[in-house]
Amino acid sequence: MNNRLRLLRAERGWSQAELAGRIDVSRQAVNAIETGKHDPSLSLAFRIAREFGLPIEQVFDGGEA
Amino acid sequence: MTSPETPSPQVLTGEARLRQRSRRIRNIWITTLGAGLLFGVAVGVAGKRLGAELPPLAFWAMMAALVVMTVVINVWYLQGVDEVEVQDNLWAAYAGLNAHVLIAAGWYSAAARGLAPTPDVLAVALATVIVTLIAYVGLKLRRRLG
Repeated sequence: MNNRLRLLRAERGWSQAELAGRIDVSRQAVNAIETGKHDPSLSLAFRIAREFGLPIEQVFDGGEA
Repeated sequence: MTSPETPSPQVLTGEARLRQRSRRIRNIWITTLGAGLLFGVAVGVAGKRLGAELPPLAFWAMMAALVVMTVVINVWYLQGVDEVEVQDNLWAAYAGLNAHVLIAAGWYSAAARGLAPTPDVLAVALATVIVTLIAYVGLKLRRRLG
């Protein structure tokens, strides 16, 4: 699954740790999602999209990484 | 109603919340290790003082306490960690379960044919724990280095 996490984070000037704290996961989890090593659950994907204030399809798409 | 003097609740930054979260998980680990140590000491002392005379009721009470403690700590831990951590735990447990079945079945089969000494339950359990730990550490290293 592709995602725009790294880009969206950079736009807001957030570190991985900052995003991790905001969505209540570990920094390793953010890194794993960003690098495509972990596909988040639906609830976590929605939480991430909500944190960026975007619809989920603007953060994730269903294509293979 | 909030009075003007009441300080507004502090809004933590993501990084501060992450530190708070890390502390919470570290506390779970410390509690788990502490509880395990206390239980081990209690069992050791009871065994040394009473030996075989430990009343069956006391023995079963200790086992029940161990089960309850394990369940409570695991529920607490699984509610505190994120889904990536849960996934790593599941993979490590899966590796441990496979290792347990293979080692136990292999050893028993070899012993039945006179190719190995009688299986040692503690050795099989220890091997299972070691394989589980290696799998868990391997996953963590992969996440940190990847």
